[in-house]
Amino acid sequence: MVGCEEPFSPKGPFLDRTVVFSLLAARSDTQFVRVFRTYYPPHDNPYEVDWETPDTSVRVVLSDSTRSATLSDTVLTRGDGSTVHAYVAYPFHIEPGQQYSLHVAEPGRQEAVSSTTVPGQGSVLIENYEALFDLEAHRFDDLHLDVEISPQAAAYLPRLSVEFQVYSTGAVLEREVPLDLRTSDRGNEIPVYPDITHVASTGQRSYYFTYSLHAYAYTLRKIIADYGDVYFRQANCYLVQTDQALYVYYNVANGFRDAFSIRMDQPDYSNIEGGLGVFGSYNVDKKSYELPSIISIPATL
Amino acid sequence: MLIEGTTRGASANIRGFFLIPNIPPGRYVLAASSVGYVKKEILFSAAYGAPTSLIVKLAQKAVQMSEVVVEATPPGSLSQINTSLRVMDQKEVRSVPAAVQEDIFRAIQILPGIVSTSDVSSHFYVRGGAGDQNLILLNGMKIYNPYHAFGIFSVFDPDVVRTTEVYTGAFPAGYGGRLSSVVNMVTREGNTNELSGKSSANFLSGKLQLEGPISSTMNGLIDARKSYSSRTLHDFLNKDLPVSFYDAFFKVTQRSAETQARYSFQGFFSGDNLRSQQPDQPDYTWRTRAVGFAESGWILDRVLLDAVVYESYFEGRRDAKSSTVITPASTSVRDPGVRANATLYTDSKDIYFIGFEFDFPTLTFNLTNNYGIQRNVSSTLAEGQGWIRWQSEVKPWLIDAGLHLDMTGLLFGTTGIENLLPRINVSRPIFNTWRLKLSYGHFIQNIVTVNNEDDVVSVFDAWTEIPDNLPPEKADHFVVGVDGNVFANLSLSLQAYYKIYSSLVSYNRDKISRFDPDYVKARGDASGLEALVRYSVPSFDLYGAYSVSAASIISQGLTYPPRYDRTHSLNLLAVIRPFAGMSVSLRWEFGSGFPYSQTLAFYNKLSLNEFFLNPFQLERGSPYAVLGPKNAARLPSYHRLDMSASYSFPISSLRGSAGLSLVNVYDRHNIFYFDRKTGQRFNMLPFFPSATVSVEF
Repeated sequence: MVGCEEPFSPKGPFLDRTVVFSLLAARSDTQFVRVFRTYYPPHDNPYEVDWETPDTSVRVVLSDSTRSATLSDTVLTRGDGSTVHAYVAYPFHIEPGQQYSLHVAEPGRQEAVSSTTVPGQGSVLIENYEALFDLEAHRFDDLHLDVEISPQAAAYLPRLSVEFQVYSTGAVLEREVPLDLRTSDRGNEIPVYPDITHVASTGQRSYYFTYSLHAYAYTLRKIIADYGDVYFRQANCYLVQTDQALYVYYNVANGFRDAFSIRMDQPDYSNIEGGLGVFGSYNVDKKSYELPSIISIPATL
Repeated sequence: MLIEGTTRGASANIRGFFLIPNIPPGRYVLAASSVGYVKKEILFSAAYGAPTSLIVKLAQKAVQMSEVVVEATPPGSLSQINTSLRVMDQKEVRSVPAAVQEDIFRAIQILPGIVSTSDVSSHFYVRGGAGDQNLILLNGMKIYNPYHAFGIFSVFDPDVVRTTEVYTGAFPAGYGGRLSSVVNMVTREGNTNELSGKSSANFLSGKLQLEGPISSTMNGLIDARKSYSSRTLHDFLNKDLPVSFYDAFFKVTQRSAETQARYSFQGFFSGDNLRSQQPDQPDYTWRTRAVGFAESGWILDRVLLDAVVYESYFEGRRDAKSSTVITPASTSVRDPGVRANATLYTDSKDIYFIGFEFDFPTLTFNLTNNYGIQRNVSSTLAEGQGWIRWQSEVKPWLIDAGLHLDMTGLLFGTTGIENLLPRINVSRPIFNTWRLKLSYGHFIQNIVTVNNEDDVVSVFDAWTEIPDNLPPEKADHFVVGVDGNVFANLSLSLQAYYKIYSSLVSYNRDKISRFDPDYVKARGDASGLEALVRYSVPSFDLYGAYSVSAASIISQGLTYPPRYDRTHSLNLLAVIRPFAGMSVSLRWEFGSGFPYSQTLAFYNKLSLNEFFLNPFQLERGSPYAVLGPKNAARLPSYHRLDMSASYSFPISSLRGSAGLSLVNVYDRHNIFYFDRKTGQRFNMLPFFPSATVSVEF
């Protein structure tokens, strides 16, 4: 019996593109750009090839209105000893509020171009920070965070964490544990951490967040339970601001960060003209509040 | 049914009931006939003011060797009015070559406008409609996903189903909740005179059917099929068909000697396992069942009541096993419901249908979403429908008109009068045997299936409620058709349709964050031309159905063909009867390729999901497929030739038959599924020989 095979491959005309990933962090001096190429696995199985293979023959230029730097190819080492190719610029200081452009060029291929405006200076503070170390007096309060974001920011993320020291085998270790918004001893709630939120369409720049004081007390107790003798050092408030491209990519590439979604597709997003990937930026502002090394936690919390 | 010497007569409805009103007192002869059955004449008396009840039992003809006249639409039947109705009895189903044995769904897929995406299809698609837009009824019970894996059988044994009505569009009032089509099956009730049975075996499965009287007014029917183990199939056929299935049906009927009313307790059960021998390839499991209590009979002289109370259940599971790229998922539907329809026959021969249906489907969908969260989605709806329908003759027109009220939205105050759905079918003779038919209908659907719209072929669909932010799916059907006889032995039916989907559920391609809805309202349309040719002489039947169609969906400014848009579809069926008891049939099926989105490239994608905690430059990525324009490419065309031969013969007092069937004679490798994450291709049924032996008593 003669078979009647008709070959099939879901491949279309190969999209030969440069893939670029780069995030600029405000006030940092070292900038990284990872560059890949699109590829076709020989047998349609994308896992049968080393998909992390970098594109090492390109010219990567990062510039702002006054400077331009050609990045050099370098090898980074992960914690597990594996290595990563990246292009690096050092020193190249990133100013908040400044626009930057990225050009990735390789002879014979379309140039990949993108730009980002780094979010400017923001601010975050705890309105009633006394509650951090005098829980008894504020046991009926919550922790109120006031957030002010810059005009360049498309999205923002407030975070609150507790920093402490713990002695282990003769060494002092620094640790930091994030708080979620509402987990307490009183329920088995699923931790809810603030998520990156797009600025309001009204252009509103001031926002207000509430962390449950119960959640704060719960975190302190858990730190003590997990680490034993600890010395609390400070509570850290962070304000992460992102540009539009990073906000969109971060959501789309991570299932819309939607716990309730039933979508099964994996859509893509890119702001790289002539290529794929994302070129974005973010700014992290920090405000710390010193804590007593030992904090009294009321039983009622 | 015709009263001899008069012009009075009537057609029996799908359950076999008929009524001839206003017969003057006297003695008459009722002539009862049906295609494939021996004509019978019954002498009866009609008295003034008192109804006369008759029971007519027709015997099947052995083999039709006399002159054959093919009629596009049998006179007096409902299909003489409706554009898009085909009624298939057991004989017609059996005339379609069986893959391994006769199959109702394989048989109806020979009708123009009905296509299947695969031999393994969990759906069929009608006139550019989605697979979840087909209403499937078994004795009035709503059935979800009644398919066996690999498409070798539908779950309904043709030996059990007496009549199958298939509406491919513009279906009348009385059918609702779906946008595209209705498959309405009515089962037999079993032998009322004596115990009889049938047993058969083929290379894939075995079957046993028993029926007969339980008491003087009660009879029953039970039927069960089960596949052999995959190991047996492998050893016997040297083929890997990782499939196992079963199905069973029972029906116990109590008859009222006085009113001829029938009370039935019925149920059917089916299950499938599709198991891959690869540890990283998922296994699939499907279970379908329905149990119900039905009543059918005259409640007044001229009022016939059909009612059923039922619970239908469907469950599908995907076991990811050790796969790192496929996640486990499950879906289920539990749907208790009640459906009742009263048919009123009037002196003027007008017929009115009034009815309602309420059902309460609980839909669950468990999955791990792309955010990595285990989602358990569950909702219960109250679906309510009511209808009034009128059939009449206003010469030269035959009219079937009605209003179908979808009360689902009304019950919750989310929709209003727009859910009053007009349905109309009219026809008139134009010359000789030719008739012109026109149809229109408006339809609403409140539940849908969801799947990954970017899969090359979808294997796993989950039922879910239409999201709150969206209106129900809506469609309008416009159909025009002509049919008649070219010659006495050759009939032709031509139909053109246009469907407007004013509301569909589609992916929200602009979704960015959790604050954006998963789905948005889309719209679409479908249009097509269909031709159905039937030719028959005593020893030969030829059947050809061709359709050309185009469907499109418009969502957020993007227009694309849906995944089930098949441009060309051709079915050819030939049945040869060289001598009494012998039948040879061939079926060739061709379908142009379905749309899919091409993979243009892969790249190493970083998630950046902790960019503010960990340096992105050290992140490990994972392969990501860049897709081309949505559904812009087409899969290879599908074609397959099946052959079967059967011979019936007596064995003393028993009836035996032996058959040989060849599925996919030239071993066409029709693509079933392509996993773009692993590059693995799975084909549909390979060349598959089977022999069937059956014995009836």
